[in-house]
Amino acid sequence: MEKLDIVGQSKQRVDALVKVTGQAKYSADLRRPDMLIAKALFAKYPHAIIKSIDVSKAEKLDGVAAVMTAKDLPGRNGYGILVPDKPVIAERKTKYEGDPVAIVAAVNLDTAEKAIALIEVVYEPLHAYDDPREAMKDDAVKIHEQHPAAEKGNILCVLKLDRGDVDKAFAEADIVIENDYETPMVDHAYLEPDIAIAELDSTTGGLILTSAGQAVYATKRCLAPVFGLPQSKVRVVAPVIGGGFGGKEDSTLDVCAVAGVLALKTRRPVYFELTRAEVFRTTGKRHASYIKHRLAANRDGKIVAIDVQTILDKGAYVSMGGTKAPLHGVTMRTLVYAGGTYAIPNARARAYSVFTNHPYSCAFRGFGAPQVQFAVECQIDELAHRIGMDPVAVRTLNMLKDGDMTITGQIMKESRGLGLGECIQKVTQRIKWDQPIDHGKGPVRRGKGFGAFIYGTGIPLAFEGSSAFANLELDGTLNVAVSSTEMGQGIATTVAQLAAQTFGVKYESVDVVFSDTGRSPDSGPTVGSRSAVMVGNAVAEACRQLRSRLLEVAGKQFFQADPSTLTIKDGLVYVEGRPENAEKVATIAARAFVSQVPLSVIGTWFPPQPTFNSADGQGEPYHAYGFGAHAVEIEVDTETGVINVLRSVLACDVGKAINPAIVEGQMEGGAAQAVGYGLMEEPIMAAGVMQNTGFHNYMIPTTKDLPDLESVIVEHSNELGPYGAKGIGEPPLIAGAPAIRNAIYDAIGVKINIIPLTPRRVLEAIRQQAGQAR
Amino acid sequence: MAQTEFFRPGNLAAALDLLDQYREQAVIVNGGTDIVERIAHGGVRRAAIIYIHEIPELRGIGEGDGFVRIGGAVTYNDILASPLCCQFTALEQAVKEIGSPSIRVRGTPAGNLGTAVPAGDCCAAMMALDAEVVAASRQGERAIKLADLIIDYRRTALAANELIREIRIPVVPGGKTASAFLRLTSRKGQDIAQASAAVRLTLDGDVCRHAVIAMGSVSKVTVRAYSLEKAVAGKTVADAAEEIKAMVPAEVALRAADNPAFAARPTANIERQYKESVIGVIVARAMMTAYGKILAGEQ
Ligand SMILES: Cc1cc2nc3c(=O)[nH]c(=O)nc-3n(C[C@H](O)[C@H](O)[C@H](O)COP(=O)(O)OP(=O)(O)OC[C@H]3O[C@@H](n4cnc5c(N)ncnc54)[C@H](O)[C@@H]3O)c2cc1C
Repeated sequence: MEKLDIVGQSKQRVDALVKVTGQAKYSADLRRPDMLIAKALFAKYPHAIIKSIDVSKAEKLDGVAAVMTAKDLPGRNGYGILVPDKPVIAERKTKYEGDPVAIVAAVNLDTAEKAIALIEVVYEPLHAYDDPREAMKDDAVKIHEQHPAAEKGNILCVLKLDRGDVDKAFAEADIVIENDYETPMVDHAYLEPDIAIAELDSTTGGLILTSAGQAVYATKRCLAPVFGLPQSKVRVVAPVIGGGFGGKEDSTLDVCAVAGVLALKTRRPVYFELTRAEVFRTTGKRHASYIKHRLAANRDGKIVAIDVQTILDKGAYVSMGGTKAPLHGVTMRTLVYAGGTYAIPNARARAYSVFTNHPYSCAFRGFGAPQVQFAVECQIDELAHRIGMDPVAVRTLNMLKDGDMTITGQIMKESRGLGLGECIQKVTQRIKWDQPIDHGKGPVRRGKGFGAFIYGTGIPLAFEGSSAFANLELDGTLNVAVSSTEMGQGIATTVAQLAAQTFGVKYESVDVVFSDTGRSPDSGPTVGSRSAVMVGNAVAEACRQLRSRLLEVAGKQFFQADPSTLTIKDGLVYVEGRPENAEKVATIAARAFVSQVPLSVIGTWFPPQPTFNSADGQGEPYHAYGFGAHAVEIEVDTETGVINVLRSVLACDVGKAINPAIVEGQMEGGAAQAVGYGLMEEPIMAAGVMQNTGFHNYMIPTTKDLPDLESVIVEHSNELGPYGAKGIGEPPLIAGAPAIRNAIYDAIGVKINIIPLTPRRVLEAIRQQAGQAR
Repeated sequence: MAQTEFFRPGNLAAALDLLDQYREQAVIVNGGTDIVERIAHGGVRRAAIIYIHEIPELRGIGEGDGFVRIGGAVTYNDILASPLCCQFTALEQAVKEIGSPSIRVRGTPAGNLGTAVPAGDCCAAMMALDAEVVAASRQGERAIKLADLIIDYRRTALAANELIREIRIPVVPGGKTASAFLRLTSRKGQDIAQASAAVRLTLDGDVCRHAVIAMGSVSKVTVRAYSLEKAVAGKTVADAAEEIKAMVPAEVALRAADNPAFAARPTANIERQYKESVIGVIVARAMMTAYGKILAGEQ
């Protein structure tokens, strides 16, 4: 096997220096004085009929360049990644507090704000729905009077998974465990607020949109109809991004749509930035979930069946929530992962996606998996306690192994990497799982908890795949272009390492252009833990093509040797084993150039086509899966309900860590976000109005809330991944919250099935249990 | 409105002159960690910003007449570096946890008192320590006891032309007296108190002779828990702490009748229930910490 000297190394990130020295240009840094400033008047009521809008006073204000309402739009008043159901400007009705009712462009922010304040809107407020269980009732007011995809009333869709004979298995099982679980809506809490710059493209007559977005091609496709432009005339550029976590796949559409229509109207460049409070109120959130989980098992610990019902809070629009086939989004994941990472022969799962008057629920790290796998990991712990078995042993007994079938009917293969067993082993060793913990005597008690996860690499939709561009320069350097975005996760570095390794130049000789539809082919959105694998494979494929072309020229014109006996390493070409007689890549490239050998290459890669049937939940949605195990040690203050996480040990099977430091970065970030998800993050909604819209009252963990986050990389190679890689972006978040919840049970014997585990919620549960005991 | 003027007086007299001139039209900026946010977002708009943070006369820490004297622009970090100040455990413990390192390098106890919000950690600590402020104006100076300084939510007894020149904490002979502060927050860094307590305890053998107890975040202002002070007097500390734990002191005022601003929040009810269920625990623990200090001092 080829010896790897670039892949597998923690190379310094390509963007490290500019970022730590403050020179990197984020969207806000690209604002120029000639730009108009946009502001939106957002809905005063989350659910209301708009009776009238009077913009006349705003229009007369000095310095206002344009005021627009729905009737002034140049194209379709609707967009969305999956379904175009979100209006640029609300027309008849508001459906959540993030619906713009009117938008303004003015010479400066002050004027824009004044203009907004001068717009008069008369509303007729309607009952606002906070709870999808209420909104799905037959007599509920329809939030969308007419929706292109909704199945019935406020129910957007119902997806089903059926495998085996569930009723029989439950009837015959020794043990049935049934619980209700709730997980919250969560804000992505990215540091950089949403921003868009829209300017006319003087060459095409179209628009250039510059915005912190995770999916430049999708943005172009979604918004071209809004602008009344052909897709070819919309160019979308994403500068480096200050965090996305899935949210900026959608929120970028919101700001680009507003800036874009104002730029078209005023014929001037327009800058639109959301305030933090607006980011909280108007942009997408994680789908809140209400899960009824039934699990049947035998006394020996073997799980025989599950029966799961998940109700998702869809918020106001489809976004990435998904519909029935073929665009099944987040909803589908709650079926696929309803049984977690375990081999379960009989399964029934139902997923309801229901509109409410909340911010639209969108993609967020884990895409439905953190919701249902929270339930699964709590269930399996309870199973262990019921039968007196060790919680880890129950997991090991049931986990998916080579040849096992998932609940979607997919056979697991070691050749695609099945490293859960090793993850479990490494984590239990590190945290000394088999040694009893001193639970303590006073008001503060200690406990250990465990969680495991499975997570597919990529998007489980028919189009999954990537294209990338590689151009060999005549001085022997290499340019690679991908449409993926760099939002701190390190894709540019990973791609540079893959290119350098595959082609055979030094890491420093590769430069990567990213996220510009004008400069790179479509590598797909930067979501779904897909890029290292899908985009990485496309880049590697391009580099392999370049390499063989170059070797062909070298063999024929320099070495008089069969190209298969040649190699390229560190920018030198030579006969394998004889580096002393090398030629520079630059020399051969120059010769290739004058020999009509193309040095610009598009590489593509498509995984085996994902399949999924939303009527029975069967299919092979992913070509490979990542796995992991997470253990925590915690302290519970039984008099205040405060939880203190003392240790966090996370092991992830990533197939191959192309850059271990970047992989650890993803793991630490995920583990930190898991503490937030498990303990504190939660928008407080009252009749559709978010109450905590600043970082002083919307709590995310600080470093003081986190222990040293221990990460263990496990590598079970994926035969189809570049150098064996699988996705690692999202998965590290998944198992932390259930591990914390299970540790609380271990510490004090109180089981809480709702996250976040805020001090108030924990204290209430403790007192309730004490009250019942009395 | 007209432009805002920014002044940076070089000494106290100049600052007092400006205050006297602008009065209600002026806003004092000290470390700025609280007020600048409100100025920036339009909550506070005045003709004059008077920036006092770098006035030398306000930056000193000293001792005299039985008081430790803390200048009106002394920062939290200055306090933590001062053994004089750290003899008051309640003050040290309160200051240590405030905000974050970047807040403590600029924020000031005087600004904390000036803000006069119920979650102000120094307000509680200073109240339990029986502190007073020296308010200065061009007309002269007066001492104001802490309990008289904070008169309502975000309202102090300072006149428009006065500033806090100094905070004074009486030095109580050690041995039988110690203090402590404890707060409960939703997270461990950069957060304000859900409930807090500062206690100064004086022992008589094993028995509480006297306890001064101040509570934060359980009313619209920082409050003395007189009811608890009475309840603990004459009891052993362990017994007293046990008894307090389960109590909701009478001074806790979170219901609509006495706290309309708080009660208007949709989450008020659940917040209130939680605060009520933990405040006793917080006070009891602070008391036990102070007790531990006394015992440690005796050894
Ligand atoms: C991120 C963050 C975290 C925070 N965490 C905490 C916390 O944990 N606990 C806590 O209690 N507070 C906290 N605060 C609030 C604030 O920092 C403190 O209250 C601080 O003490 C204010 O001091 P300052 O010098 O910055 O005051 P400034 O902001 O300068 O002023 C505050 C008010 O006091 C008045 N004032 C200031 N000095 C004087 C004076 N000498 N005479 C008369 N009036 C004066 C000002 O006019 C203004 O009204 C936090 C703030 C932030 C931004």
